[in-house]
Amino acid sequence: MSAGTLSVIAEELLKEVKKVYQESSQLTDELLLALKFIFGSTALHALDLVDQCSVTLISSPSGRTVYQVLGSSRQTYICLSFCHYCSCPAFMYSVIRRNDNILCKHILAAYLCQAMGLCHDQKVSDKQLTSLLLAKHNGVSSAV
Amino acid sequence: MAAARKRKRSEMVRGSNFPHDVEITCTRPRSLVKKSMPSIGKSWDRCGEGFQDSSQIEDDGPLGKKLQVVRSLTSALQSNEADICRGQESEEKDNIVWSSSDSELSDPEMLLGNSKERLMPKTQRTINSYHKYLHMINSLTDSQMSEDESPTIDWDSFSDNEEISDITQGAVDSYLTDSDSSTSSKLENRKSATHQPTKSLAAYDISEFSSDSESSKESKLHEKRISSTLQGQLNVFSCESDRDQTAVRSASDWLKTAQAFLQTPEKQERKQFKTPDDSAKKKRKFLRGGLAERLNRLQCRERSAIHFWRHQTTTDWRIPAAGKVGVLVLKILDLHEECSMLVTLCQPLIETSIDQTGEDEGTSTQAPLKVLFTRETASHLRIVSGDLVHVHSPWQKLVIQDQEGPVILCTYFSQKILSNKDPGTKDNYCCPGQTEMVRKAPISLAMRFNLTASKLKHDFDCDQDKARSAENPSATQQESLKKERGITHWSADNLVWDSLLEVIESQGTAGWTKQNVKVVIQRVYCLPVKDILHNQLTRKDQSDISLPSNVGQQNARLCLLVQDVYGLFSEVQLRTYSLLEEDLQQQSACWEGKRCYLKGMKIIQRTTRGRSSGLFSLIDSLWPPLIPPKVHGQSQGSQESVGSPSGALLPAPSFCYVLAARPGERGIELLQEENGSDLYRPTAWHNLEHILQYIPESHRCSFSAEVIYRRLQAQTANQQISGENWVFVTDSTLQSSTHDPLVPRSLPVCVTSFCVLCAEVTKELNDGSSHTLLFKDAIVEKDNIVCAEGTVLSLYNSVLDSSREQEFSQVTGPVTLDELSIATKMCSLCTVQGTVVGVDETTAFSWIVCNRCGSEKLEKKTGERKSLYCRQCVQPVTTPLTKMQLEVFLQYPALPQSTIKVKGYEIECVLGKETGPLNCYVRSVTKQPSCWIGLEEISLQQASNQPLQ
Repeated sequence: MSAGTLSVIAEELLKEVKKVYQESSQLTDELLLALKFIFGSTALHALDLVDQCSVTLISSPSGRTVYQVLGSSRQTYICLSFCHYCSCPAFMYSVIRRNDNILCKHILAAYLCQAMGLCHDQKVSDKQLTSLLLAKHNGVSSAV
Repeated sequence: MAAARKRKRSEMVRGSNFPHDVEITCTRPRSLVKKSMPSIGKSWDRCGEGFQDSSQIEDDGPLGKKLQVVRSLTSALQSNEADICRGQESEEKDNIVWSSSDSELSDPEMLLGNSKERLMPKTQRTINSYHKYLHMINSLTDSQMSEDESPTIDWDSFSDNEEISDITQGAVDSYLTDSDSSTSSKLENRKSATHQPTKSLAAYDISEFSSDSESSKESKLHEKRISSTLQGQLNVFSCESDRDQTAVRSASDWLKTAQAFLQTPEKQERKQFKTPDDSAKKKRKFLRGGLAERLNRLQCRERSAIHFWRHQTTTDWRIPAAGKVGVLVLKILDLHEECSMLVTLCQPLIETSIDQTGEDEGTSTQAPLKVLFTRETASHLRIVSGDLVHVHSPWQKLVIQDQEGPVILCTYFSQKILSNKDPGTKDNYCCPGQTEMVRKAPISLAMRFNLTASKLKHDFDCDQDKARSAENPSATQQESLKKERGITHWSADNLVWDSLLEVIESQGTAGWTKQNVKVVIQRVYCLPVKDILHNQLTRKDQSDISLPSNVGQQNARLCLLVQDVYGLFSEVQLRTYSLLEEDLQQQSACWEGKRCYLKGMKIIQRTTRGRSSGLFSLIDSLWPPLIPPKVHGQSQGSQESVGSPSGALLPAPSFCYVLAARPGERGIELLQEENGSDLYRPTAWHNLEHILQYIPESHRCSFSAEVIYRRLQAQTANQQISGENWVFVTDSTLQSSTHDPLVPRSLPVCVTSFCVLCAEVTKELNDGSSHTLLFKDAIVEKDNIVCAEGTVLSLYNSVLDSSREQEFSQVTGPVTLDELSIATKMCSLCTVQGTVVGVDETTAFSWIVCNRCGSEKLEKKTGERKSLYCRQCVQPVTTPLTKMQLEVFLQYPALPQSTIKVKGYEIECVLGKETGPLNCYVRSVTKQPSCWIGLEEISLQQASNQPLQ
C-alpha cells in the first residue's frame, strides 16, 4: 500500500473507464458509483464537465499539451497534462493544502475526457501555448 | 373547476414520481416477482412499523394497534384518493400508487363505506397533511434538480405507505385512534393472515414497481402485491428469509433497492429551511441524459439506501451476515487515512464461504485485501485496527494491474461486528473511545509526480509485507494485534521529515516507528526519574511536591531538548542516566548543537505553557530561533517576503511534546556533520553583575560563580539534603571594587530537586571548600537564582573550558560581603561589626567536642572516670573542647535604632566589647513594629588553595 494507494486506484479506474467506454460508448452504473466512491462529489462535477464537453486539449507543434477546462463558473482553468496540476483554487485548497482530495474536478474531467476520447482538440502555436501557460486566469480565457 | 383541481392534484402526485428511471434499478428478472410475492406483504408490514422495533414481532398486542394505524391510514388515503382519481383511473393509476393499495382489502368498496362515514373528517386532515408533505417534497426536489429529472422520492410501490407511516405517524396516531375500533374486522383479517405459514422471501423486487409506465402490467403486479400484503409477516429480514433467497439477492441488497425509493423525511425537511438563495445555487442542471445526471440519481438512491440500511442494522443488530453471499467478513489488519479515504488492509476470514462466491472470486483468495472506506463510513463504524467488519454487497472489486489482490470499493454497507456478541450493545456504539484515526501525512507533490524514488521503495516494502502476510496470515494478525492501533504504516517509511508536528499529526498520538525526523539538539540535561513520573501528573504544581533528594539519587533520565526547522520543540527523554558513572558535561559536549534523527518515538505528553512552566522557560530562552523558522503551509519564497528576520514577531511556542524512545529503539541517530546546525542557539554566558542588572525575572541565564556558602534547609542524619538546597555564590564582577553598589556582592542560588546534580558536583559542594561551578540555564528570580528543570550544574574545568578563560575570571583574594544595612534582605549574606550590648541567656548553651576531629559524638566510657571516647577518631578524648552558642545583641552604628541579634557559635567577645567583622547569614528581617534583624554567624567556604583567614 504505497503512499499513493488512491492514485493507483484512480489510475486503474480511469483505465476501466476507457475500456468500458470503448466497448459500449457508455459507462456502467458500477463504474459511476466507483468513481463517486473514490473521488466523492468531485466525480459528479467532473462528469458534468464531461457532459458539457468542457475539456479542450490544446497542443502546440512543440509537442507540448495542456488541458483547458471550462469550469462551471465559465472560468477556464489550465490542467497540466504532464503532471498533476490545475490552476483552480479548489486544487490549491482541497488537494494541496487540505489534502482532502487527490484531484480537483477539472483534472478528473480532463482525465475522463481523455479516457473517453471526448476532448476537443485545438492546435495552437508554441507562442500561444507559452502565453497560455504564463497567463493569469483572465488572460487565459481571452487568449484562446 | 372541480375537475381541474383534481387534475392539478393528481399532477402534483405525479410530479413526485420517478417517471423513467427504471433502467438503473429495475434489472431483476421478472420471474422473481412471482416468487417473492408472498413476502412483499411481510416486508410491507415491517416497513409499516417504521422500523421502530427490530425484534421479531408477533401479530398481536401493541403491534396490532400500529398495524391498524397504518392500515387505517392507507384506507383513509384510499378513500380520499378514490375521490380524486375516480374517472381518471386508467390515466393516473400508475402514478397514484398508493391508491392501488385500496385493494388491500378484498372489498375496497366496503371499506370505503365503512370508513368514510366515521373517519372522513379526521382522515381528510391526514390526507391534507400528507399532501402538504407531498407538495413540500415536490417543491424541494424541484428546486434542487431539473424539472425533467425525477426527484429521489418514489411514491411508487409501497414506499409511499411507509413514508406516510413514518412521517405522519405522530399526527396520524392521534387522528386515527378511534379508527381502531372501526377496523377491528381488518385486524381479524390480519391475524389470520399472519398465522399463515410463511415462506419468507424478501420483497426485493419492489423496485419493479417503479413508475414503469407499463400500466397494465403494473396494475397486475400491484394486485399481486396487495394480496400478498395481507399475508404479511413481519420478519422479512430474518436469517431464514435471507438464506432462502441467497441465490438471488441478499437482504441488504434488497434493502438498498427498496431504499432507493425512499428519502429520509428529516433530510427533506432540513433542506426546506434553506434560504432561497441557497437553493438557487443548488439548482444546478445536469445535462439531460448525461453522465452527471445519471450519477446524481444513482448517488441519491445510494445515499438513501445507506440510510435505510444503517437504520436497519442499528435497529436490528442481529442481521446475520457471515456466510451469506456477497458479504465480506474482514478483519482489519492495518489502516490509514488517505485524503478522505480510509485505506485498510484486511484479512478475509474463513467464514466467507468460498464455494458460494461464484460471482465474487475476490473473496476466495485468503490473501489480505485492500478495502477502502469513505471517511463517513469509517467514522460511522469507528473502525480501528483489529476490528471485524462485514461488508455487505453491493461492493465493488477493482483488480489493479501489477498488484496482487483486488481493492474493494463502495463499502457503504459495512457493519462492525463485536467479538463478544453482547445483545445489549449495538455495533456502532461500541468502543466509544477508539475514534483515533491515523491520518497519513499529505503526499508530497514530488512523490505524486514520481520525482522521488521513494514510490518504488514503498511498493517494494508493500510487496514484502504482503508476501509475509500471505505466507502466514495468522501470524500477521497476531502481529497486527500486538501493534498498537494502526501505528505501523507502509507509507512514508524511512522518509526524512523535517516537521515534528506533521509526523505527530500524521502518525497519531501513539508516536511513530519508522520515520526519521530531523531535529537539532538544543540542550542536554537530566531530570530526576521520580519527577518524570510526577511531572506528568502535576508538573504545574511544583511547590507542594515532597521533593525527592536530588543529591542522593543514583539515577536520573537524560533528556534532550530538540527543535525542528519549524521551530517546534520537544523534550526527548532518552534513557536512564547514572549520575555516579556518567559525566553530563561530556554527554552535553557530544550531543548539544548537533543535528540528529528522531526515530521510533512515542509521545508521552503534549504539554503546554501552563502545565510545564519550567520546560517553557527553557524553551523561551531559546526563542526566537537564530534563523527564521519555516512556517507550515508557506513556501520558502513567500516567507522571505513576509517573515521578519529578527523573529521578534514570531509567537513563542505554546505547546511542546514530551517524547521517549520506543522500547527497543535507539531513538536518536546523530548525523555526522562537520558543522553544527544554524538553528542551534549556544548558551550565552554572562557574569553575575550583568545578570542582576539586565536579565529580567524568570528568564534563563548561564554563569560561572564561586560557591562561598552552602546552607541546608533541612539536613538529615546521613548528611543528605532533602528538598531545596541553597548555595551562595559570587563572582569576580560582584567582588570587584568597581561594581555597582546596588548590586549585591553575593547571591543566593536555590537548587531545586528538579535540577539533578551529578555526583561530582555533589561531592564538591559537600566538601566544604569553595569551588567555581558553571550554572547553565538557571532561572533569574527576584533576589535569587533558581536551578530548576533543565538547569545544569557542572564543575568549572579549566582544562575543558580553557577557551572561555576570559569569560570565567575567578575570584581572587578573600571574598567580601555586603555590610549589613537597612537594605539587607532575608536569606542573604552580610558582614556585621558592632558592640555587644547584651546576651540572650535563655538560648545560650554549650557542649563539648573532640579536640582532634571536632566531632560531637563523644561517649562517656563507663568504668573509667571522666574519660570520654570519640567514636569518629576511635580514641579516648582527654581534653575535649567546650563549644557554646550565644545569642548576642549588637549595637550597630549604621542602624542605631535596630535590634540586631547574632547567633554565634564562636563569639569570643563579651559584653561591651566590639566584635567582628562577622560573616553572617540573615535569618530574619522584621521592619515592623521596629527593626529587628536576626543573624547567624557563618564561616564561608574557603577556596582550597587560599590560605585560611
